[in-house]
Amino acid sequence: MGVYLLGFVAYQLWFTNILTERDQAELEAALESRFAAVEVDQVPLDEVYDPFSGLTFGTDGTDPVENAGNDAAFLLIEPSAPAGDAFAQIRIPKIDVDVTMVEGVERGALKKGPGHMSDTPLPGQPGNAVISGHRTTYGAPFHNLDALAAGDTIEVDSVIGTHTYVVREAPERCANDEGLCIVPQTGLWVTDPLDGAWLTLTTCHPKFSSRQRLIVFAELVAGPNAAILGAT
Amino acid sequence: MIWLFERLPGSRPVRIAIMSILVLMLLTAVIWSYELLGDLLDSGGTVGG
Repeated sequence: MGVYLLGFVAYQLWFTNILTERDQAELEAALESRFAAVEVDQVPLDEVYDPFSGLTFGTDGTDPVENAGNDAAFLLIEPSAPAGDAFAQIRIPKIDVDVTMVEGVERGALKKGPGHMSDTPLPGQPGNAVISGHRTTYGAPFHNLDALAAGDTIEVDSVIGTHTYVVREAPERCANDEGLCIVPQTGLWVTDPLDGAWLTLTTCHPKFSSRQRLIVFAELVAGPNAAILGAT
Repeated sequence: MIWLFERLPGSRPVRIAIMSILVLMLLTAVIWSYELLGDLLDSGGTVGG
């Protein structure tokens, strides 16, 4: 039994990291191919669906183009990658994260790297782009997510360009004494559409347990679509 | 393992083949159970579902 448990710990905390490291090397190459092959679409803003209002831009009484002071009334859009494929790179300087993300949050996808929840917008698009990642196994990309505080930056490189997000305060609804947003595994509300363009990171909490989820909300402040979306 | 090997029927090559299959099955079962137990440590951080 002791040998079994030692084997379990070694497999989870050591061997899975080796597997993910190998996958990440392949994903990096695949991401370069995607960047070279995929074409970016320009879509008129008034044809773009806003997940927050449930309307297309320009039909909800506001004019984000005027708000942004930008004449370019087009939003840059990229096609989604197939499930499990590389689609973007995420960098979080404060916690030394620089990994390739994959499409989808299925078990197999998350073994390779952080995954994009497919029914949420892609990073750089209006609404709430949700990314999930392991905390203690499979490369543990979000191991130190609890060290992020309001004002820290997160960058995402996608086909469109580099999107810069700034971490915002945890909502009162989920903030604990340390200012971290902690929700139960069933806390699906964290994926709800938000006004503007947001990136929401989710991981297990506390470390070495999947009992709860640690959530980090970050708002788009710069990037190819930031001005037209009225990012501040 | 040696105890089991000595009690298997057949010639030595047959017994080695049977033992190899048993070891492989055991390893598969262990790794599979690690995958299931691993979800208790870290299920990937997804919400909902």
